[in-house]
Amino acid sequence: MHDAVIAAAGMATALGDCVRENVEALLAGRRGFSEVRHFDGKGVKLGLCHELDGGGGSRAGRLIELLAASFPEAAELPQEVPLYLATTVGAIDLLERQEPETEMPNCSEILLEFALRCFGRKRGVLVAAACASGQQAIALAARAIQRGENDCALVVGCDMVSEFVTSGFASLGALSTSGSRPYDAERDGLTLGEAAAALVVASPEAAERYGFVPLGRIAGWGESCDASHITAPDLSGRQLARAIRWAWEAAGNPTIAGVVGHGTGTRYNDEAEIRALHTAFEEHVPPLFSLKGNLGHTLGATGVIQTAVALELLKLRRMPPQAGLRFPAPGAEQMVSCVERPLGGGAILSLNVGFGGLNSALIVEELR
Amino acid sequence: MSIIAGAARIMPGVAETLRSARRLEGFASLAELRTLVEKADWVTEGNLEDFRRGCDSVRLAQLAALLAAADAGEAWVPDRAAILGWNGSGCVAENHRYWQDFLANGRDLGRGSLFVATLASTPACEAAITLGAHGSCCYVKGAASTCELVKLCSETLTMAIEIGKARATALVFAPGAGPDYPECANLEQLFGEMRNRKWK
Repeated sequence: MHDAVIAAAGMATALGDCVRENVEALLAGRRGFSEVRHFDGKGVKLGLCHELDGGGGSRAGRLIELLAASFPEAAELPQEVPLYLATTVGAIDLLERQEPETEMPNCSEILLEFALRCFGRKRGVLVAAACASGQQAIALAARAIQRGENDCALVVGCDMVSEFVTSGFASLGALSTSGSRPYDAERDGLTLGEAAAALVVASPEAAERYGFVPLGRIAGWGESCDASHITAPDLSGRQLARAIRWAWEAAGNPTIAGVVGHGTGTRYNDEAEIRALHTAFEEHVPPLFSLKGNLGHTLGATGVIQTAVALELLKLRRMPPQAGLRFPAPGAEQMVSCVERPLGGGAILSLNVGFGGLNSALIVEELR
Repeated sequence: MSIIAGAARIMPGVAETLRSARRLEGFASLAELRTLVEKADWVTEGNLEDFRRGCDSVRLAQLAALLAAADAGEAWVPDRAAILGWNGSGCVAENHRYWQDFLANGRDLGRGSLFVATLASTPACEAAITLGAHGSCCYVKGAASTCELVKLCSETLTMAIEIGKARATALVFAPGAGPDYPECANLEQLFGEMRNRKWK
């Protein structure tokens, strides 16, 4: 079995166009929420990249271009290195602008084709697992490297803010009126965001061959499905806890210095996640933080962003303050904080949860 | 390497299993096929609460999954079974339906039940709910062959479901449960190849 390392990372979000800029903003507790300009957002504030406003083609395509411009290392990889694209709805704004009587666009496939061209890849796989797409794509890429089927892969997560998705989450009553407050007792919903992020996942040998200094190692992962309800999580968190335990065992039971949680700020998600962490870690629950209070929920991109951020936080040994937090939710009192904390060394657990009861736990660690 | 423990496909008017060679025929709609499935004592019991409000891709996934699990017999262990939706037509029609409904309602509020179906992973997740399958679950597109699909699968018992126009094919891959299989471009072709081998 080969090792899989993160050789390089890039991102374009509402808070900046590289990993370091984003992590600095997280450590400062900045929130990247602003009013929508590209459709009638009814005054709601979301995590937007306004440099994308007003361009042609799909906004998701422009997001990919923004990422490619800030992360040129990705396009320099050999063409044979495969692309794993994580997205929930792809270039969905093409559907919004579709003329009547024209052929229905397959928006995710269109974005995959665009990303292949933009990053100069010959082949790619679309991975759709709702809001767990990002980490599932990383796990698929890492598994192929561990088995020796590939020695390098480019994992890209991308989702844009659209009227389509915003209206959909509004119809489910899931949107916050005041800005997402993950793990807060008075949280009232999620704030959508848009982002594209990329990781070069490789064997240590391939990373060296392509001139990268690895950022960290993918130590293990676990995935499960609640199989209970298509939108609501199992509030017991039982299946998420199983995914966490599988990831931890696969990683060799490392010390978990901190958790980058899914933490959307909805009542159900956060409650299930807090319970799952207590089930998995009992009285030794690590410090917890969700970047959705800063960037919003970036759907298919969030798992890729969380993984890159986790490695940077491990390097800095700092845990950001929880943006939006006022009064910790019951059960989260010992886990979250509205001030920055020191972070121990070792490993970080990152969690993704998605519609359909999808759970993903991924552990990254420093290179020994 | 995983091998095929059970398989089923649904075509207009006919649903059949591969290993046990059972057929359900004469249905004019998926609702009628559901009735036949529920009456068949050899089919695994499943949760079809969401069937009525599901779109056709969800219904096809639920029924094909039930039949494939029944075909796998004792090899079917749902607790760590992973489910992969593979290639097929994704959720293009469901995206269109949600958006047109939103526009028709004055672009004010969407309909939640239609929105949930716009995710390509929804049919696989609904199949997981039907079967109580607690392993990994996602939809992938771009794997060139069934062998590549298996490489994407987890080490645990895995079910793959392909949904095309008005048809679905589901296969249960399980370690050590049956014959190896040829590389094919899709599950439908693989189903045909396996049947030509007179698998019974």
